[in-house]
Amino acid sequence: MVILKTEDLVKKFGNFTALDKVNLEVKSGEIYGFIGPNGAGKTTTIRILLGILKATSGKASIFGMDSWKDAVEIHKRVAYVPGEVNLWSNLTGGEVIDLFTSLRGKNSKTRRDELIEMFGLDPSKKCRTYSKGNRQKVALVAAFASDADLYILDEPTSGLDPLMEKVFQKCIMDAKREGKSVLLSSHILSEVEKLCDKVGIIRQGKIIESGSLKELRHLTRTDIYVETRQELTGLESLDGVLGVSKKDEGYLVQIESESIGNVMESLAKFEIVLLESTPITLEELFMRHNEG
Amino acid sequence: MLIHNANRLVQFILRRDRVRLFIWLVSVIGLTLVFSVFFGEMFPTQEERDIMAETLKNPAMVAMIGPLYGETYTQDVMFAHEMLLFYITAVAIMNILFVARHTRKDEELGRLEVVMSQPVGRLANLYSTFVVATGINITIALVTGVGLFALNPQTMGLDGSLVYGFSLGMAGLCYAAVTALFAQIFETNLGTLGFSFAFLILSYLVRAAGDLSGEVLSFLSPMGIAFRTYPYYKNNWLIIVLLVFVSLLFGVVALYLNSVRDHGAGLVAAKPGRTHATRFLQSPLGLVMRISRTFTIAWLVGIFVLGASYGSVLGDLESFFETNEMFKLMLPQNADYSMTERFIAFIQVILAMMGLVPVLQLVLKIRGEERRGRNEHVLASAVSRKRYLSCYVFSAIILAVVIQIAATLGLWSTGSAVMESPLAIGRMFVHGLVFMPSSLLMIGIAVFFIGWLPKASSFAWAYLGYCFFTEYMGDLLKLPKWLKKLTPYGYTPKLPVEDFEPLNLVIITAIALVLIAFGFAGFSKRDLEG
Repeated sequence: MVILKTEDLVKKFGNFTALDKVNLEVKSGEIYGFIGPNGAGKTTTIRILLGILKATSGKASIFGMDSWKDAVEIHKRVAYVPGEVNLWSNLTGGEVIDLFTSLRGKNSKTRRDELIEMFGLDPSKKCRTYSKGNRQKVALVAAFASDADLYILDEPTSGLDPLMEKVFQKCIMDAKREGKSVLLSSHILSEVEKLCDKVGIIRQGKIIESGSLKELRHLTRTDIYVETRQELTGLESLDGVLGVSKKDEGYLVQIESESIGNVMESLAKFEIVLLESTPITLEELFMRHNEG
Repeated sequence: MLIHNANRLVQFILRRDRVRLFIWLVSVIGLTLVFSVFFGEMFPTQEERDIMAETLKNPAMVAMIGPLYGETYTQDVMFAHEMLLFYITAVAIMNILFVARHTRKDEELGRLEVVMSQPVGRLANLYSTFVVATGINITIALVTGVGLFALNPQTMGLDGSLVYGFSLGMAGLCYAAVTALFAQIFETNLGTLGFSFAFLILSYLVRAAGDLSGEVLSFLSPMGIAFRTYPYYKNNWLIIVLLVFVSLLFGVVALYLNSVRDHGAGLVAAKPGRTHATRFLQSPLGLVMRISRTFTIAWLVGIFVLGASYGSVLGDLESFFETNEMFKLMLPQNADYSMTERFIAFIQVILAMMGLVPVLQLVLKIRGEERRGRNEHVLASAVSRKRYLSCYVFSAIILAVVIQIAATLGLWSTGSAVMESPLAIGRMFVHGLVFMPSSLLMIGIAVFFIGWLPKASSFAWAYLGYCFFTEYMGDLLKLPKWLKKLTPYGYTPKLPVEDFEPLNLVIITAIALVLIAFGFAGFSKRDLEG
């Protein structure tokens, strides 16, 4: 079942085109990683999905309802954590958490206290004394204490320390186990790699890649490290080989994914001693898109 | 060395605050000097001054501006008597803000930590804050003193002028030292400011009680002490020495406390807040009321006091206005009514417009929240835009009514105390509430801008300023009548002096409702900032 969908979403601010036909689809139970450089349009997309901005054209829907028209109905089942969490300086963290969860409707008191414990938050402190990370914790506790079907998280871990990131990842995995869906915009690519079933890469308002990590890797290249008994020669001229470099006793070879079979056949002739395949990381994928 | 490199810090403080301090100094000193000249023109004859003195003898006025002194109410004595406490209050506010900013606020924001990590003495920051505060206050004392004499050489003597200046400056220094002390005791900037301002208010009230009941209590208050220099009459320099001594005492205690406490800590730990929200806070309306609570209460108290201070002069109005043509011009003209009734009608318009300041502040808060990205939290939950905006509008309407009642109560309370025949409270409420359609219209204008031209929302302030100007000064400056007719107040009857015009009120209300409806439609349709 499709939980969240945008079709040819366009948003213009005056002459500036922030989003240029963005298509996203998050299915039930899926964790969708939404990545891209600063200013690419991630937050704009999310804000349209939440009915905070109105799309110039195209459609955005959640639970099959229109993001703009049915905002309130949608929000009853959505928990949102903004990228920049600004809170009221004279309310305490505990008060803000209670306010947020009660505005959303369904919430669980025991879950709330459990989460406060897990994140190590002092709810009796005024928000003005919180660091960026602590303000994010307030928003995260409020989000995960709500009984939502979809979590929209905009760079939720940018201020968290590595221990808290682990806690956050556990919360995401718990949500997934309960069949909830997540739209996670993030800069921390290792985190996206670890958590997400699907990834969309946005750049200058356009989605340039989307699919499962496996599919994305397949579209690009594979890096292998190989040591052979005989001296490797003539590899560069093979079809599908993108680069060869000497490393330690052997060679690093970059191969286009579809040619991997052919290249292997040629390599075998040199009597392979050691062969390691290192899948391309999301970071490399990301860098490649933003350099080229 | 405890104050190593304090010189550099003094320069640094002056560099950081040069614009801020310049504006403060120019406003405080400039206004004093301008008023001193203005006073001479306003009450040129001894006869007029004597009538004024009669008015100021009643207890309500003594409580407000201090006891009358001197054998004859000469121009210089009159100026010092009527101005000193108000300017001390202004200078005290300046000192409190200045000291808190350079001590606890810097410490809370972590800016002081960066400074302290440099080779500077442990007490260098507090010490240099004192040095600068002393410099500012001596500047105020000298420039005011010399300036008063220079601008009014005929009427104001040099000795008296300097005593006036130093009473002002050294009282200011006292409040600076007290704030420095509170900055050591409390852990937060808000706590420091809160207690310092509470001290200021308390010292004003204690002085009032003292002035009414013999002098002992007045000596517990810096401004009560400062008043007793009696500028242009006794010119008591010993009192100024006393003020310096008190400041030094507080200053030394503050320095000592600073030397024995940890950086970032206070002597009183900030108490933990609630870990859970009350039921009240768990709704958008509760949130709006909660985040508006502080300034709302402050304004309610303020407007009550303002009303009370106007009320305190009602007793002697007739004779006062008979002799003063300028003031007479400001009031609505209708010979069937007494001066007092006309004055009350005039004051109620002024109070109604003053009361709109927090009301507009409350409505326009939704813009501030939007800019700071906090509306998202509420609007991304199950709260519609219309419902959220209506929380602001609803709170503002309630506040408009309550604040009008507070103003009327204030006016009535002291007015009844000083008048021979007490005022009819019920009728006064009605006369005040006649302005509610106008208040609703102002709310409507703000909501309209929030919906359609959010970036230009401050137009509502400009329009309120225009209303105030035309109502307050329009007749005095003999402005064309139609300028007054561009505001709802031009169509609202000033009861009882003018005739009741229900149709006007209905039309104003209708326009207000249309504007509000348009505003809601706009707010539901537009992109949110943030």
